[in-house]
Order: sequence, then C-alpha cells, then structure tokens
Amino acid sequence: MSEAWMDFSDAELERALVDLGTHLSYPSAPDLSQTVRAHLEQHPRRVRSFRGLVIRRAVLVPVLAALAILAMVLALSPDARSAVASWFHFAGIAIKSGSSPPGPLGHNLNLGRRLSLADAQKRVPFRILTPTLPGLGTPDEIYVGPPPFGGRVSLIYRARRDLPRASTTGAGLLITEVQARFFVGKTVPPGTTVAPVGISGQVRGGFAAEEGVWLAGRPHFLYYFSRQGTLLRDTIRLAGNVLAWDHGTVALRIEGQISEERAVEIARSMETGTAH
Amino acid sequence: MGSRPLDDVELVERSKAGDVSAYEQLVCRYQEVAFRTAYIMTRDAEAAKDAAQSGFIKAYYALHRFRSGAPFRPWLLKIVANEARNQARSTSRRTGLELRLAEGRPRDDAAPSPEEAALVAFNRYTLLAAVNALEEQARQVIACRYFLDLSEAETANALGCARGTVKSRLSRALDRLRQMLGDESSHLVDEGVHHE
Repeated sequence: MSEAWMDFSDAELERALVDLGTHLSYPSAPDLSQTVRAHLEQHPRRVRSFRGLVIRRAVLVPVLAALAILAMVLALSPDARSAVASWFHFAGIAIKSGSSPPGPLGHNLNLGRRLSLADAQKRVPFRILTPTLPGLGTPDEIYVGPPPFGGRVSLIYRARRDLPRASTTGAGLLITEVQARFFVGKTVPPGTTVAPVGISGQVRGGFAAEEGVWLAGRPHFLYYFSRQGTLLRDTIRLAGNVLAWDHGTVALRIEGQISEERAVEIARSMETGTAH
Repeated sequence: MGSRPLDDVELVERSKAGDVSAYEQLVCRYQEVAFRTAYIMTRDAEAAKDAAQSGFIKAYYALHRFRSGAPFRPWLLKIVANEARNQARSTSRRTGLELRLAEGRPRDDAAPSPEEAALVAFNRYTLLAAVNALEEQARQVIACRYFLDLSEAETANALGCARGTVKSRLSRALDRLRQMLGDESSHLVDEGVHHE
C-alpha cells in the first residue's frame, strides 16, 4: 500500500482527491435566502445604484454615443462649443470663461434662483450639506435650480487666493447637490483621469461607506441618473477638476482648480445644519 | 420573455439597482458553495452558516464596488471566506471532513468486484485521513481546489493569497500528502476510522 501511494504522480493524486471530493459528507447547507432577504429588506442599501442601466440600455446607448461624439467635437472646437451651448440653452461655462460678465456668478452658470441657505433648505427635499473646513468660510452665493433641476442646490465660493478661479465655472469653488446619482461609466474622454477616492471615514462592514471619484485633466461631461433611473442630460456641462460622490440619495460634486487632497478635505467636512 | 433563468450578470445588475428578489436568486444559486467554502475554513457547521450569511449580506451592500460583467462567484467567495476566517478565530469546535457512509451503487458500466470496491473505499479513507491531518493552510488549499472544485483564481480569492501562492501551496501539499501516505498510512487509517 505505502509503495503504491509513493508512486502516485501529481496528476494521479489530484484525480484521487477529486474523486474523494465527490464522496465527502458535508453538513447540510442551510437555506439562507429567506434570512438574507429579510435582513436586506429591513436595512435597504443607501449606496449608489445605477438604476435603469440595464432596463433602459436600449435608450441609453444611443444617447451616450451621441454625447460622446458631442464631447469630442466640443473639446476640439471653440466655435462648436458656443453653438452647442446656445442650442442646449445652458450658459457657456467653459465657453465664456474668458469674459465673465459682472454680477453674481450663479446667474452666468444658469444655476437658478439665488436664495439664503434657510430659504434654499425650504425648497429641497433633502438636508443641504455645507463645508465646515476651517478657513473656507460660508458660500458666497447659494442657488436652487429651476426645473428640471428641482432640488438642485449650488454653493459658490468666489475666486480668491486659496481658491483659484476655475476656467470652467469662473468661480473659486462650485459645490452642487442634487437628488440623483452620478454616472461616470464610459463617458470620460481621453485626457481625463478618473480615480476612486474614499470620502467617508466611517467603515461599514469592512467597506468604505462612501466612495467618490476624482476626475481631473481635460474638461469632461458629468451625467446623473434621476431617482427613477433616467439620464439627466440637462445636467451635462463641461467641468474641470471634480470630486463627485453620492451621499445617501444626494449626489454631490465639488468643482474647482484645486488639488484632489483639498477637494477631499472639503468633502469630508460637509455637514448639515451649518448656520449661515 | 420566456422562463429562461436570468444569468448572473443580469441578476447582479438588478441587485445593484436594489432588487432584493434578484439577489435572493443569487443567494439560492451560490449558498451551497458559499456554505461549503466557509465550512472548509471554519470546520464548524454553525460558524460556516453564520459566515455564509453575513458574507451574502456584506456582498449586497458592497455591490456598488463590484465591476459590472465580472464573474460574481469568485468575488462572493472572497467575501464569504473572509467572514469565515474571522469566524474561525472564535470557533473552538473543529471537525474534520467526513466520508458519506451510504454510498450509492456506482453508475459506471463496469461494476467493481467486492474486493475492488473495498480497496477503493479503503484508499478514500486513507487519503481523507491524510488530508484531515494536514496543517491548516495545506488542508484548505487542497479542499478548495479539489473538493469544492474552485478555480485557481477562486481559491486564491478564498484563501486571500496570490494565484502563484496557490500553485506553490498545492505543490507542497501534494508532496506532504504523498509523504504522509507513504510513511504513516496504517496510522492514518486508524484516525480516519475514528472520525466515523
């Protein structure tokens, strides 16, 4: 017997082990489906889910393809940028950056009505987050967007020494909060880098509770999915360096000519209920 | 539409969108291999059940990190195995793997003679006793790869090591098995019988 085993090649021993595997007795596997389901229904997930990506793929693919082509044309031609900007009725952001007219920045960016933080809060169904990072101060201008952006809040910081003016917005810092989810996916053109960034320090079940993306480099588009899963194409505009992440049901983004580290610092300091 | 069962990719996408029923189907599909993988790690049925269950739950909450279109099973097993390792640390009861007692009649065309059948059974006992006597790392790599039929990548995921490490551990484990079987087969048989 001993000699027989010693003579076994690896392949023979492997075959014997596979054969053994089919003759093993395991404790019977419990049915976990009900317990797992009950748990998940009691504790619904609060993370981004690109709803509708599958269901609406038929609609989405041509739309995204068209947008990708548009992105390329826009990136290449300033004339095309102006033309398309007026066509889409969104104020030129990258386009008019050279000659920002006087007046509140938000009007140039077509961000909606300028309001106080308290009034803005009354008009949106979610709690507005504002940065609490020391030295940053409160936003200079606050806007609530018009339909179809019902619920979009924009916080603007004017350009200053520690917040250089971003050519894409004309502002030092633009923070946008909208009840939707980000879609980054395959919409990023060459020349734009995308890096995952941990936002929340909290860890739930061993995984970072909130993770965002840092988009930098050449201007690119941003897309959202509405809560119903439709692509919000009206939110499309050229953006510079952006930190985008989902916080509960709200998609947030920070745009500015700032470093990734600075953007993450600001993101981590975002809190509700800051007096303004 | 028809009654074609949805494939993993579709179920995962639906689960990502919050469809708990779709995820339930994934649980049904993979709970056995999840449980067995956890059992290999913990050697305790209760701990394995807990590990598989919390593995499924954590995987669901982490779905946004799962790359669409990637194979679901290796990713799931990695999470389950991780849970199992945590469970194993707090488990004192450890049982070895056992052979099924009631073996059905083999379906092979050539039914073995009683002597041959006895020899085959004896060899299985011997081999299993040797596997059970292996040190933990070697036992786990053998069990994942050959008993659970996990791919090399899945085994690497489950054991939390590189694929190259799986290869080298397997090679060492096979050598060790051969050595044990050569040196101590009669002693091991006693142990194997003892498990029953």
